Amino acid sequence: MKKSFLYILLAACFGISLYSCAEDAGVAFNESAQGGDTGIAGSYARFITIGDFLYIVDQTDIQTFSVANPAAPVKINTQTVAAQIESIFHYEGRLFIGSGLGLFIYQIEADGIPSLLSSNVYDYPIVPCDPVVANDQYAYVSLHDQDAEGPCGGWIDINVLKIFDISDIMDPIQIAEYPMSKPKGLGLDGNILFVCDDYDGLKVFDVSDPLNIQLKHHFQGFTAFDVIPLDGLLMCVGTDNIYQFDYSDIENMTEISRIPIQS
Amino acid sequence: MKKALYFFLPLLCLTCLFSCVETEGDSFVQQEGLRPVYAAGTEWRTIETLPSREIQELGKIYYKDGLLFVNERNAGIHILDNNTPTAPIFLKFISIPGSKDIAIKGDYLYTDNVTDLVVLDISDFDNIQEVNRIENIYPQTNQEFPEFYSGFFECVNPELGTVIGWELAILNTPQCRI
Repeated sequence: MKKSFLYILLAACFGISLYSCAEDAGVAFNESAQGGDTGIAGSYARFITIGDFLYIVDQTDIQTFSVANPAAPVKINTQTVAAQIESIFHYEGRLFIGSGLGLFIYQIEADGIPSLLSSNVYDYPIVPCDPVVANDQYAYVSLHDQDAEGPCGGWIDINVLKIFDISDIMDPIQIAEYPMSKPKGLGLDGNILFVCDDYDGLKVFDVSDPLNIQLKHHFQGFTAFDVIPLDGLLMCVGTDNIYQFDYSDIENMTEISRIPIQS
Repeated sequence: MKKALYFFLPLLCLTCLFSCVETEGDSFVQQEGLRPVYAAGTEWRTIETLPSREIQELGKIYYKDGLLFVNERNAGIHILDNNTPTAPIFLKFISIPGSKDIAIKGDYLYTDNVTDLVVLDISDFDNIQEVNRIENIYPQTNQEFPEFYSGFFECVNPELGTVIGWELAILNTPQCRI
């Protein structure tokens, strides 16, 4: 227990020191994918390893496993979050869970077990659930409608990117909403937000001013599902390829390779 | 009160999801949709490392130390060497029925195998070993309909076995829709 607390403390210090010298908030998380113990997942992830713990969300619950012995996970907690959970995202000791009902934020306690800090429940009854990415100040959530008018999907026609101010983590407030075509996976690196907009391709925004985000690039001609941004390399899964982009110079972001998917 | 609503509404939604489609009389309709793929018994618990092959369906991705792990939904995990992103190289394919998610800690990869959580030792790609399995971490209800899909599907019959995936097919008068 003591060890895990120390780990979190160390990770927090590491995060703070990184954050202080590079205003790029995404870096702290990205760094861990290079040479660290764990890697980095896309925004649709339902599994995540943090320190000595593995978190798994299913449609309603979050389960915590101790992986102090990584070969032998031991379940230590299960708790219900809400219905329609799609994904889990980690930023500096906090878990952001995207659900069809709202955004739920958890604090990872010293024993590794998450406790609910706050939530922001949407005004409308129900929408298909989608991913969330976040940094210290803002959380970004994508919401899209169903492909066909199913009995539930037909309720609401909504395709938006929502931005929440989470500087008061106990009280997330929606500060902006932008129309999208059909937004799915998200990726955040500093002030650059990558939005997989399904049939409308990949959109790249400068989100320095959350009240006035700027479209910098729009790559069309493919169906984009999810992304991993990592220090200038963007891996983007589409229905027919995994597209890789070099965004080390954001002004001149270019596609560098494709890994075909034979579907 | 408001809290109760969050739970009640999805329930209501689920109820309408699973309510059978009203069919007009006995009319026979052929309709494209998804059909569950069943595995009888426990054969779905067999995990094998195979030579690399092309990715056949979109899934989630995971990156660690120059390696790109690509989930092929419900089929397994492709391992690619992505140290040179302009020219990624396929290394292996791990066949894992019902796999959708990936997480890694050190030399150990965690994934789902239908309703189980499995731990694979990936320290040697030529000798990937299942070292642990925790059965039934997911409730069976997660298998009742296809994820990330909307449209007609063939209703699940649990007597036929465990659902390990879904395939596109021409369905005869499908009774379920999501």
